[in-house]
Amino acid sequence: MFPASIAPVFSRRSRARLKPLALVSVLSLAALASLDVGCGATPRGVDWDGKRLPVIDLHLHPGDWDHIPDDTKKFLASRFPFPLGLDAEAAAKGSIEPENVLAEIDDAGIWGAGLFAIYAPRTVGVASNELVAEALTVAPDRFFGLASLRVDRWTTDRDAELALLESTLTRPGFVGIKLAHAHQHFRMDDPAFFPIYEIAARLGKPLYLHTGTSPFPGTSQEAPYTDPTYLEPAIQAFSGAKFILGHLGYDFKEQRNVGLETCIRLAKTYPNVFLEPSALGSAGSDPTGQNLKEAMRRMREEGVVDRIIYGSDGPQSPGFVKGYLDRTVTAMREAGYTEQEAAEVLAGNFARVFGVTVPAEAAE
Amino acid sequence: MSRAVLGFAAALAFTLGGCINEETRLYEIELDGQVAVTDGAPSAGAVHLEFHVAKTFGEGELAHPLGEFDRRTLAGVGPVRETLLYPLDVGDGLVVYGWLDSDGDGILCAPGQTEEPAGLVRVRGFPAHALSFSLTLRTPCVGPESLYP
Amino acid sequence: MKTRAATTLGAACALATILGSARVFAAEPRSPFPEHAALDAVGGSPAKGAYVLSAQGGWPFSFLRAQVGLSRRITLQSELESVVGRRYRPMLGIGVRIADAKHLRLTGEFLAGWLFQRGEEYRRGPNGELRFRLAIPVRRFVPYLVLGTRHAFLPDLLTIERASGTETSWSVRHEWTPWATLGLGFALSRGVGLDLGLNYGWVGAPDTIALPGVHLGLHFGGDR
Repeated sequence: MFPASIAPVFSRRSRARLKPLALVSVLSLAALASLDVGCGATPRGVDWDGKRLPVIDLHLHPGDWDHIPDDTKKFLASRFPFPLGLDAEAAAKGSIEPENVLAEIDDAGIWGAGLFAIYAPRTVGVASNELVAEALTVAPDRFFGLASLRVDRWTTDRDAELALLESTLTRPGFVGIKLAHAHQHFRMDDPAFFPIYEIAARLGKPLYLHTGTSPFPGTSQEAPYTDPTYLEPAIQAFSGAKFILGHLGYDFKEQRNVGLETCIRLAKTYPNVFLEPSALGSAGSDPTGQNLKEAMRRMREEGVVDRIIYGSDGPQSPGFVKGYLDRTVTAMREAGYTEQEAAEVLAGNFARVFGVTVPAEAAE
Repeated sequence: MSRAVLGFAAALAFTLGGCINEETRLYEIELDGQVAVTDGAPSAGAVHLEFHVAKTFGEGELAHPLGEFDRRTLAGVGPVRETLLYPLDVGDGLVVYGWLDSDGDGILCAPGQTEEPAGLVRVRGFPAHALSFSLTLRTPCVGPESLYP
Repeated sequence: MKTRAATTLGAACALATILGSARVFAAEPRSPFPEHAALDAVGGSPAKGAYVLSAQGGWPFSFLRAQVGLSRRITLQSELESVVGRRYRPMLGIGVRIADAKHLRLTGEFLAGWLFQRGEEYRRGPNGELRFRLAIPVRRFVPYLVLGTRHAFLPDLLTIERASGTETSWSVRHEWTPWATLGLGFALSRGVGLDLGLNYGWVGAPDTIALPGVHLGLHFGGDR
């Protein structure tokens, strides 16, 4: 039935009529295929009025799907567009493997990236220091590790955890410490945890701190765990430690710049405070883009551009890292950032704070 | 047993097996207790209680102590009688954490406030439908993570 | 790079086939058979005694479908839908031919069945669908549109152990999926047809984001 019904298509008379059509099709194919040729690699850096500025993204997450709590897995699966959430593990693994992180920053023209460890079994899960150490080997000249530690058994394991943190910080590639009070469930002003800041000050390793609320299940959303005001005692007590206030105290549940003015005040008051505007300006957290623009504008108005360290909170999904960089650059342009100011935000401040040298090939 | 009955039972089992999405198992606990402050300490203000599993069922690095499943607010220190629904699939053991809201702002030790005491107790006898506890609020300005394990 | 090249190659080949076939069939007698498998498959409601079997493979949706005409207007149908091998909907239903003309067929279909989904969130429960098929046959080509609404009901069980005994209660969640397909059927012969369609199934609307899909179908029919 089937072969007999289509036999006329291949008759001699039909083939004769097909010749010009075949020629047209081949030429069309060649023309279309030529569009695929000559794309090449993304140039490094951001084009700012004809000059290329290097970029370092402080805030990226390698991870392990098997070390994410079930509730968070479901939450993440629900955030993927259908049907990607049906196999969320496959979708996420493609994002959180270090090779993919490298590919994402290459696509974005970014030279360097901070990779975060985290021990938050009640919320986002565990990305251990060992996992980050292994990830650093993928691009040892371009990846910078931030170590972390468990705090959920502090009353019994404090000394062991502090020793482990200090040991990790002496390993090659680890340049700082990552903490997330809301995800790890410990108060920002609890003196019992101040020995962490003592290590940071003594070893000269800056601290990155998640500030603001979080959409992840199990997060502690109360003020002492999210409001950067509660960090002030520690900032005062450890003037030798550098505190990077991540997300600028953003309220991710209400999508508002709740902690922005507090962060700016702390930066203006204390020389050891720095600001990082990651995640708050994503399409999901800031649909209109106005919150990120407001944040970048206010920080420039208040004269704290030298404290801003760029970060995205990627990789999240394909293209997120590049997209966040584009949104941040747009926000800086609209706020009137000069070339020098943009260069500071995008890489200069990171290099100064973390003691990193940015090579010439970071922007070419 | 006739074939019809067996068939029906199989169909029912199949239907039920293909029918339950989320299954939640709760364990009712009638909790009696007493919340107090140390002798001579101020005791005015509401008391905020948090009820936690003592440890979760997470595997390996995902296992952790504490996990809040309910919270209540009392008018003040004194006797407590609450009915809780404990999530059996989340963890094991019962911990009660509380703090005194002296200034009534709903935040434990907001900046400038240093005198709101907190406390924590692991309830003995879990699991049982009737349990009792005694909680003394003696440590100012700390969350449950600083008092347990 | 490879993906783009392969996609370009595939699109160019499809274009060449369509262009070539159009010219070839332009030389044949007009509208040799008003009813054919492709029309029955994408327009629905085959005639009394006629049947059509369809296999549509695509991303993310794939279908196996069978239709049998019971009367001039009523059709019995069954289908199995799969989404990337993790979500299945076996369904049974009836189709009703609402309108029929030389260049128009409008069919309404109602189906009921079950939903099975595995992944980070398991979903299972009864599922129903109401949809309309509009086909505009022009000689061998059948442009068509499908619009539908799907409803899945997901029961949850709550068990409370009290001192006085154990009590259970059920609650039901609702998953809504508005559906649309825009496609083109093509009759290779009266009994064999193809179709290419773009699908949009907004699973979990309106709280979710869904990606559009595409499918390629092969249809066999008979007993006309």
